[in-house]
Amino acid sequence: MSATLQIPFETLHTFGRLNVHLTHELQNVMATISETSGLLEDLSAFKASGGGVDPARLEKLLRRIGEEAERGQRLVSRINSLAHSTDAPVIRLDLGRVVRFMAELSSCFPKARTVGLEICDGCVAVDAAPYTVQQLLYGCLQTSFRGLEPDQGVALSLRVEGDTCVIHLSGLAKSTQADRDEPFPDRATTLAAEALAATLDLDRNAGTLTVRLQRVTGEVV
Amino acid sequence: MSTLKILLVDDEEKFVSALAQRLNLRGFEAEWAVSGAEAMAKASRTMFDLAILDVKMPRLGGVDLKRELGRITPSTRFIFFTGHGSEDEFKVCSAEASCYLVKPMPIDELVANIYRVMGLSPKGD
Repeated sequence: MSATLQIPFETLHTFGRLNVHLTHELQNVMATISETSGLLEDLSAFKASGGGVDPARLEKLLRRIGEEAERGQRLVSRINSLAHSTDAPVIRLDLGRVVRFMAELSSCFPKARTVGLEICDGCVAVDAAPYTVQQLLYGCLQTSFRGLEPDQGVALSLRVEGDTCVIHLSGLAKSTQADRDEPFPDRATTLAAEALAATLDLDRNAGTLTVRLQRVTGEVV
Repeated sequence: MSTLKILLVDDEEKFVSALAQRLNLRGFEAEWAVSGAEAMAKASRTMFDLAILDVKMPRLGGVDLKRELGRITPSTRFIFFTGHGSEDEFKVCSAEASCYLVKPMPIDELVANIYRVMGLSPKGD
């Protein structure tokens, strides 16, 4: 091979994991639609053979199919947005939009917990590759979910301090075995932080994870 | 042949409830649960002939749940299903159960596998 593409494997790995989570969720949607429509067929055949079927039950199942189709549409939209995040190497972007997107996406992560969002008013502009910011946030969110019970959640805020954007996660577990097995930041998150010149501060005692990166002034295209 | 008692476990409630109703319409006694904890509670009250478990669930995955269920109902047989079908999952599931299905699966295929895993024919011979 005359040329070698120097893309760190971990970068691709994050993209792959995100797609795995989203398509897993989409597969669940398809399975639900498939079984619900199958049940409608079964009930239709049951009625044709003289059995009684409550119309309200049929209406509920039809409504369920509609709801799942909407859920599937939202997932397809997210997969599409994720795919487009690699369109440009560096652009001026609104960090608030990326943070909101990743918080939404995180509901598909394994062992996901709820994320309470608080994003400051106005556009928080940064010059960065959208995908690299997503990669950074993915690592941070995954780490913040570690060790939490299913009914627990984290708070995620975005604010501006001078020329710095501060992404702050709180409500993290005080300590977790997963941190010892896989210390934070992992290689993919480290690569993303280096590319963005971002600093990461995980404080398990305080239950917080703080990310700081350079803000720019100017309009987002 | 007595009616087969089946426990379906999947964190997708709408999916698992529809599937349970479809199996009930085919003459099985199917119950469903959306978590490992709920499944364990049901298994402590009812002796299930077969448990059909989703591999990936938030707190207690299908493989671990199978081991927990096996402790309280040693005679229960198992089928795994998942939304994927990756090679890694296939290896793990093949080692843990004799049947591994990728969802959504045609209901006739699922029913055929239920009889196969139970060592029965659909006519009850």
